[in-house]
Amino acid sequence: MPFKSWRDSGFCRRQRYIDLPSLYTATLDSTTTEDDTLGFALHNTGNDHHLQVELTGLQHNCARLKINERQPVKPRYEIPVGDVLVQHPQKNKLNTLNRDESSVTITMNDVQAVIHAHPFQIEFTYQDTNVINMNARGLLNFECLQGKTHSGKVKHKTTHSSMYEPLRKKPRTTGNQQSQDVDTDDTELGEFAESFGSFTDTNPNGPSSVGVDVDFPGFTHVYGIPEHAESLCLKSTRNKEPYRLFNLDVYGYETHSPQSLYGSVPLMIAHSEEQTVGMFWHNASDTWIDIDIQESDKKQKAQTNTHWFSESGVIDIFLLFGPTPEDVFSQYGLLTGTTPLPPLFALGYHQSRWNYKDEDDVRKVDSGFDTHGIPYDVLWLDIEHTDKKKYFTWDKINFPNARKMIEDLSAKGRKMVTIVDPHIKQDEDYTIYKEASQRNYFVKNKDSIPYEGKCWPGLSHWLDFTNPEVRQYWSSKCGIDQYKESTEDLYIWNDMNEPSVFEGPETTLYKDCIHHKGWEHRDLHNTYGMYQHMATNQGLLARSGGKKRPFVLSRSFFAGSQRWGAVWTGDNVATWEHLQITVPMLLTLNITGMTFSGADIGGFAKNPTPELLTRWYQTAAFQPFFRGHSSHKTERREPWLQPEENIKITRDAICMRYSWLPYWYTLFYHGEVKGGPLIKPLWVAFPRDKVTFDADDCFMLGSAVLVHPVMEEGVSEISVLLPGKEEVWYDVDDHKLYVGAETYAIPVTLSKIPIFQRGGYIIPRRDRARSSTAHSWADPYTLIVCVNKQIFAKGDLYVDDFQTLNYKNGEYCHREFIFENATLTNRNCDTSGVYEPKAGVKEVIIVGSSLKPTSAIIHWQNQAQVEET
Amino acid sequence: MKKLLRKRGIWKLFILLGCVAIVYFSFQILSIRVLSTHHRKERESAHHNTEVDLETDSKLPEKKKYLLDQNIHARSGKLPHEPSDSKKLRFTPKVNRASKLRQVSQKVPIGKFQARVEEPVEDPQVDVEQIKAKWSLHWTRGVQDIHQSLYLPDREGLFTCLKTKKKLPASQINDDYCDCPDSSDEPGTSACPNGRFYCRFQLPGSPPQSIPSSRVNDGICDCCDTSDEWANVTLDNDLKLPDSKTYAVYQAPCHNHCDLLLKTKGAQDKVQALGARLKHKYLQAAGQLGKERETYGANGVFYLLSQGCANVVMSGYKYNICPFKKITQQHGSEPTVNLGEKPSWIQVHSGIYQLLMSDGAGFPCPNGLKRSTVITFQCGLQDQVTSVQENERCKYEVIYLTPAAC
Repeated sequence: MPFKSWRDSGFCRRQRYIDLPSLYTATLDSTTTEDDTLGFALHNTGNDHHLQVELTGLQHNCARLKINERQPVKPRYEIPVGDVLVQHPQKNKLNTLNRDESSVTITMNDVQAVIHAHPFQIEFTYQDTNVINMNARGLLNFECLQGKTHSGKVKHKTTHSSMYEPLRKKPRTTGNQQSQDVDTDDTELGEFAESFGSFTDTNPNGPSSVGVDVDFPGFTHVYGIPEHAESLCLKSTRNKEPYRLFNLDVYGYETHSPQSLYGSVPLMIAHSEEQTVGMFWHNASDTWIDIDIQESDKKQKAQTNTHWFSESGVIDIFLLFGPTPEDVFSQYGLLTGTTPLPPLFALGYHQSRWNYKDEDDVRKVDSGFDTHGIPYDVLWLDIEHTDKKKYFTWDKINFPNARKMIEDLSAKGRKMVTIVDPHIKQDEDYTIYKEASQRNYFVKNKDSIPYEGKCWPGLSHWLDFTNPEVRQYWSSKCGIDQYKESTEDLYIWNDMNEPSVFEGPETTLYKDCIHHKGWEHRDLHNTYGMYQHMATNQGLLARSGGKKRPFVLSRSFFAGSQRWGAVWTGDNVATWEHLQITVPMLLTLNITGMTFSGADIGGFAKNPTPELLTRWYQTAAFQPFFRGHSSHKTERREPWLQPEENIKITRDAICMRYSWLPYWYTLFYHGEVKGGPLIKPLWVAFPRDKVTFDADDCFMLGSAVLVHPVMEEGVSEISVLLPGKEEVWYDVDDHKLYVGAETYAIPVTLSKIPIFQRGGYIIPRRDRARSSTAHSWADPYTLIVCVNKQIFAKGDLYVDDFQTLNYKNGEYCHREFIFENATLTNRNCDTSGVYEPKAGVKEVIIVGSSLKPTSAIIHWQNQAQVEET
Repeated sequence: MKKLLRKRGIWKLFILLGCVAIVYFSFQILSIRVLSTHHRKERESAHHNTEVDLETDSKLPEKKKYLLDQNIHARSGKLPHEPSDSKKLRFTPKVNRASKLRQVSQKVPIGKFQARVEEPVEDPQVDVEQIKAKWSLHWTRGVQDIHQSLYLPDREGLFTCLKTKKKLPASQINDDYCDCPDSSDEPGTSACPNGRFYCRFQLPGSPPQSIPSSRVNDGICDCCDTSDEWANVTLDNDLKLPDSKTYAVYQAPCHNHCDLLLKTKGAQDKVQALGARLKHKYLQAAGQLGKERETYGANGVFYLLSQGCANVVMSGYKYNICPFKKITQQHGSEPTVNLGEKPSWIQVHSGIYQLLMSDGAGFPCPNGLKRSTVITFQCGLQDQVTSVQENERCKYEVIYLTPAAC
């Protein structure tokens, strides 16, 4: 295996199983209290280490718990504020209720925390219900930096449970040791130098890992911590691999595995019928999470125990007390930001392939869409468009007139995206290589010379995007003047930015590589891709003088990446399992802030059957980022290369996506303002309905639509859960009525996937299937009014110019529709919006009302007019 | 499992169903356009909200009833007309806005509303034939020649949907609202899904060409005679390209460029005619063949090509193309690679001649594939390979011009 199991990782072995009672004691008489922060010391009686704890109250029912060394021999890495956290979180006043030597009780709004001195632990309650416990199982383990000893031997406080005794055997030391002076004495616990296959991590700072247990009493359902190809509801990891967060390039990954993939968001959400809480682990190093779910029985109450351990950095935990799912999403949104409204074209269909090989190929694919009447907005070029994989350049033989090619797409209102990876070809004729070398912009190896590794271009170096100056430089390279042949209709895609390093340990950089200000790659690995994404986004923004909305896709991501653009789930495979796993993967990304996300339609690797490809289009049309992409080893699969029936169904699916764009766009607008998912797990929409908690074969699109894609081969019927006792649902195809809180067997054909509009909601659509979003700007809207049992419905529509940032200055229009007492009212629900829309509503379809209208009277500025019905 | 699913006779509850009213009101519901930005406060007040009441009985106030009648008239088969005093009452907001709209005509959604404003005020007694003459251009917009007569209303002033046979007042033809379930009432607008628009200008001697009706009035000139962009819709300013260069398509406002099309067509026709004469040689060559002749297309017309090889160099690769025999590729000093040697026709009729040469070398093709090449023969004045492409790993495509394909 090129990737580590927890047993291959020294700090995991040291952290995962600790069978001693907690050796930490809080010295509560040392407590310092400011208005908003409680500080105190922790003493480890086993090794005499001293830690400092800060508990801070934050606004909107949040708290922050930070643990660091009291006097570290050198500073430990903390992610700069502004990079992951948008800003310093707004603090909230703490009140001390009770204080003595053994415990301190504080309150902040609805949250109360009781800190126990010995053994050290903290109980958090929300409105008198205990919802989170910290270190209740005594797994806090903070390895203080000590400077490496000559022998490399260090005494360690922990012992390992006998159950895992085999671990104490020496791990593999086969393969070539790269460095002769490596200490191997400590390999047993992996504290200093550590080997993995033929790779050695010198780990010169020695053990620096941190870990603690966080328990959620009363909860049996936890979600989040992407990216894993796993079920939505997280599973118990007892006696199995923990979930890992360490961004890696995993080609054709396995489904149903806790293995880490391309990105990480260390946010976990615990949910019960009573409450939703969240926990954000603000740490960018290699992180593993154990989960143990205890169902309630006679002996014990229901509880989910989690154990978090990271290789370096500090313990910096944000606790989000909800109490509703939406509250947790907006609390998290306040910390790390929300997804900004993308330009409308980015919500259309994207056609990509590794690779459209030349300008003629591009032209043919582009006109193929027109010939077959299939809308699309963006054509993508993978690595082969470059001159020898030197990014920001063009292969002059196959793309001699790139600018003209882009302009030809522009003339039709379409866009192009080219790939730009973070590895820089070692080539004296390559401007970026030369400039970056001169300016010392590359990541260094442990010996402080630019790290040299292999990727697509052969020998390469990696730009150090963690350095703000490098990001500034990179942004300038996106300029029209710098990126030759580019236009404002050329957008960028960042791939391989985990970073992927061929022949590197776990296909990535060595952990002892050195970044800006001397930080080790170990400290910040998971944020590397985010920094490139950020720099590219800023470059595209600067390119238009801050006028146009950027669009950048990235494969790697971290918490906060949602601010910089879209992400996708990497190199998936053309199998039904991979189609199925897109739903939980994208739902998990959505509830952890990465809302603008998608999966390669049809699967990147291998060839899908026509049925699989068609089903994939139908599913992806209801997922936020909608792109077909495939490997060069696969057969061409543009939609019209399918059998006739499949072409038609695929066209219908893509057209449906386009006609629903007004609804999508309105959802994205709400997403920017309030945070929260675009596609939602059922439990988010029905938080008190326990039958929804495990559902991950269907999802809500906003609050108004339930999508149950068909993701099995050859089925003629699928079972669909329509939740909510008080709800009514209408099949969007035939407006057939279904009452809620039932499971139905819905017959399906290849052209059918069950989609339901929820009674009580109004959806805006634009039903003319233009050839791209550029052509629909003056098209009329249709309102689909589906009434609930009270014959009531509401909805809204957000409109702006669809491409610039002028909406930030009030150039938008937000209308609300209410259907009540047989009257549909359309009103301006945000008077600070001053945009004049280019189109109006032309058609209203009212579904489910038993009233049979005979006429419609339109009131407009005190004047009535009537239309027959 | 399926047995467990209960249905509880919901079917009976479907009285609630019925996508009741397709009420369309062709005014700007997002109608703040009319208000200038200086009147923001006014906009906040409630009376600027628009409402639609669904009347559930026929007891309408007198004035409303009158309006309703007017509409029913307009919808029940009579040709477009209205009493001269009704304009003010009927579409008051619209008419008030008319002057405003003209000023900003670019922003007006092409729609029923606009069409109505343009409606001539007719004498109720007017001759039907006269109206037909006046409106026929509007009704037959986007209709191919052979169907034009179907779009002229019958004696009752009705149009019949082509497939579903539903009857509609002729005023609903091309009124930018889709009424026929088969999409046939909107041949000249983008209102119906899956409709086709036939450009006014058609190349003589070619089958009629159409575009998806979603391309009508979308700001892109699809018909060379500009007939698809009759409402003068243009792309948003930010998407418009400078006129100084030419692009793959023309953006609106459109200019007639049918002469270019005619020229190209003329040149193609010439090649076709000359080529057809040269084809004689190819048929002759196959003359002495017996039964096996048909392996080489109709009357063995491609036989002569099997007797020779074309050598071309593309992107540094040398290709040796011997139709029906073998195709090879060579790069630098590397060994020659077999791109296919087993011939079989993909299609050899209706003007499309595609020969598959399969069973080439395998390594290192994905999924155990062997290299193969598709030769597409196209009409040309001499035997010539114009392109060799590998659009997919190990799958090659050759364009081969030859009089044999004329």
